[in-house]
Amino acid sequence: MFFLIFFVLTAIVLLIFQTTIFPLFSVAGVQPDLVLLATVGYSLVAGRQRGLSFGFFLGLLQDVLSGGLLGTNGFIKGFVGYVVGVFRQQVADRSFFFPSLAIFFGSLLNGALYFLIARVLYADKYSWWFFVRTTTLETTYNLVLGLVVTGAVGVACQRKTGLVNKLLKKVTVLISDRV
Amino acid sequence: MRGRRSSGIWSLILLMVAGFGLITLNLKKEKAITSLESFALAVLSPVHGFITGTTQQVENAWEGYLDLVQVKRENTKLREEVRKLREMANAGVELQQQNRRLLQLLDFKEKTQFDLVLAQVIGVDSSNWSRAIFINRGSRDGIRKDLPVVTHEGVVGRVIEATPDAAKVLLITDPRSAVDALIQRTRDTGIVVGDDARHARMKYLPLESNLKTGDLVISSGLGGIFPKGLVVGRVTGVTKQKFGLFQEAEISPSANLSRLEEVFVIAKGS
Repeated sequence: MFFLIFFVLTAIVLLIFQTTIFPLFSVAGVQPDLVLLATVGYSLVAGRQRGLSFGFFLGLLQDVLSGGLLGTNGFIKGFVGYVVGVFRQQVADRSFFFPSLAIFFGSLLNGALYFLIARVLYADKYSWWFFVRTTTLETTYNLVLGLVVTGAVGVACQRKTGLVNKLLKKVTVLISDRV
Repeated sequence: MRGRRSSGIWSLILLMVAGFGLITLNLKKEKAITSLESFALAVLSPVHGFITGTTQQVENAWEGYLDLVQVKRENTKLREEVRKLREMANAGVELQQQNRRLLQLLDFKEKTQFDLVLAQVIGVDSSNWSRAIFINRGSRDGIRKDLPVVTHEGVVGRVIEATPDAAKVLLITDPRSAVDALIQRTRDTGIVVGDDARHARMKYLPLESNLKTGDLVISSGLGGIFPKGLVVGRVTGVTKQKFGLFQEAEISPSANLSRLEEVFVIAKGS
């Protein structure tokens, strides 16, 4: 139940931000992919299984609010969520750069998968340049935003260790262990 | 008991005698009384002055406090008024801009022969991989798939999905979009396809075509979606390939696709 509430609230907030405020800060028409960032963050906390379902459903909602084919983002975000979940299990390092690394590879994977699907479905309509440009800009933007958020959380944890850590632990347990 | 009562009566009588006596003397303006009065006044006046001064100060302080409360209230009220006036001024500016835009759209509507449906842009694409907008008109207003969407500046895109109250519009800058177009000056035809968020490319232009930067690109009417003569954009660059059969032109869309607020859907059958 908590997962459902968490998911619905996250989806509403993210998609509203993504379609209203973030376009104002777009660079060369590209803005950070909040759905991807949320999927990566959630997979790092909750693991591959939940990361997959979280990414899939959030991606589907993103598809509804985009001009792309329904299911494209659902599939891609679900896959990224799963891979990041596996990455979390395999890598023992839990330093400050761990989430940034996950965001970096997650964004690259997102771009590569989109490229593959688009080439299969639309053949030559999408140019290489379009993907290289969009993936590079999106990855950079995601990484910057990811670093800022990770840094802010890190600073908050250091300053108010007890309270923030308790809160984070509670939220982590709630969103990862209960469905 | 009796003693107490009699002393009380005596005191009362004394009081009455003294009182009436003093009143009588006062009426007669006896000197002794005047002196007594002056003395009392002289002794009591500093005390009286002190008490009056203190009372005055307390009263002033109280009034000052009340004034401050009043000023604070007035300040809050004035701030609120300033906020409301600012809001009204902003709303005025917004209305003025909206009015300007709507006048331009109205002018376009009056000049054109198409049956136009005015729609407001209610959202933009949530993904970086496609270029689309959402409008507040749907199948209830006669909007359906493949209807062209324009502004007074030029072509915006085409409807790719319509629900009863909203529709999804694919912009001409999306790589999947294709508009059959011609260069107005040379009459050479080609296909305008999306390139990135701000530009489009015109493909399949004949090699011998004498294209120039600034040439106007209009819809040819051949694609079956966009009627002939709609402004698509202007040529901003030309790419000639050495061994290719065609040349390509970079197109800057006439409509400002990143700042769309109101658009027209061209209803079919017009």
